[in-house]
Amino acid sequence: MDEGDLAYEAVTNAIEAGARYIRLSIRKEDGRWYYLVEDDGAGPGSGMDVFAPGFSTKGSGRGRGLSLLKERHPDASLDRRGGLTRLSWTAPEGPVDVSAMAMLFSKAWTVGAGLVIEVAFDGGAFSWCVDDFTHLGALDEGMNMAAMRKLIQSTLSFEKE
Amino acid sequence: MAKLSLEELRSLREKEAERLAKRGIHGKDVHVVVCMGTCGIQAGAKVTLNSIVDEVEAHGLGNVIVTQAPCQGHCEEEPIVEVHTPQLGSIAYGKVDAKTAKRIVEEHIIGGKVLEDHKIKLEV
Repeated sequence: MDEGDLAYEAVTNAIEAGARYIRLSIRKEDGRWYYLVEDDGAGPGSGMDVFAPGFSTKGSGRGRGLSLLKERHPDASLDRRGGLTRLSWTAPEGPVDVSAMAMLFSKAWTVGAGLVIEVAFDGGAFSWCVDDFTHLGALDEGMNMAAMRKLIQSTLSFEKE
Repeated sequence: MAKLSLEELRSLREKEAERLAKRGIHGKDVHVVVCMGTCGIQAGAKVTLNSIVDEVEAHGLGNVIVTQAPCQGHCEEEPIVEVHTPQLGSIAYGKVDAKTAKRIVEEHIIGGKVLEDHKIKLEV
């Protein structure tokens, strides 16, 4: 699984756990990406080892995503602050997975959850929310993930110029 | 503020109904569902989904909607893709890599022919 897969998994976990607001923040600092997934879901409950293989609140056969994340990034941690669940980890520098972002917006829109994705690097910072794509027609016209990818990519490419 | 005529109201209602129909997943003729549980992603479902989206875009298929679903309990068959069309009903495919995803769009969705070599049966 690549970094985009892991970020997809983390946000999907929050959406499937019933969160109505999710924020994925990806920030580059000192040559590393700092990932943070924040959501307003109920959270796993205190004292539970969410990174243990097989831990899941969604039934049997689940519970591999977070253990894979921990396996790959031992610094992964989860805490609760002010009613929000915060999952964070760091990863080596690499490309931002635009297609995973588009998939997440599509998924969030389907269930009516609010998703914000923020990317900050090299002095530039961008953010997108579900409404951005709705206004531009990429979601209202039938979850056009190709259009969403182009919109995100064009914003990120603009930054590089 | 000027009053709307009955005709204008009817026109507005029709326009809104059309807009809302587009928002509905089932307002499309063809619905493609890619299973994106952990098992699916590990097996390459993200590549599969990207490939389907690319092909739908390349062929300009405005009647197709592509969505995601969690694990369906058939992890050994992942990546799994379900295709729902009025003509062929619901068909599930297993072990769908990028190449097979392209075939699903070209042969099943456009050509109306089931890919027997990848067809699987999902228990309800």
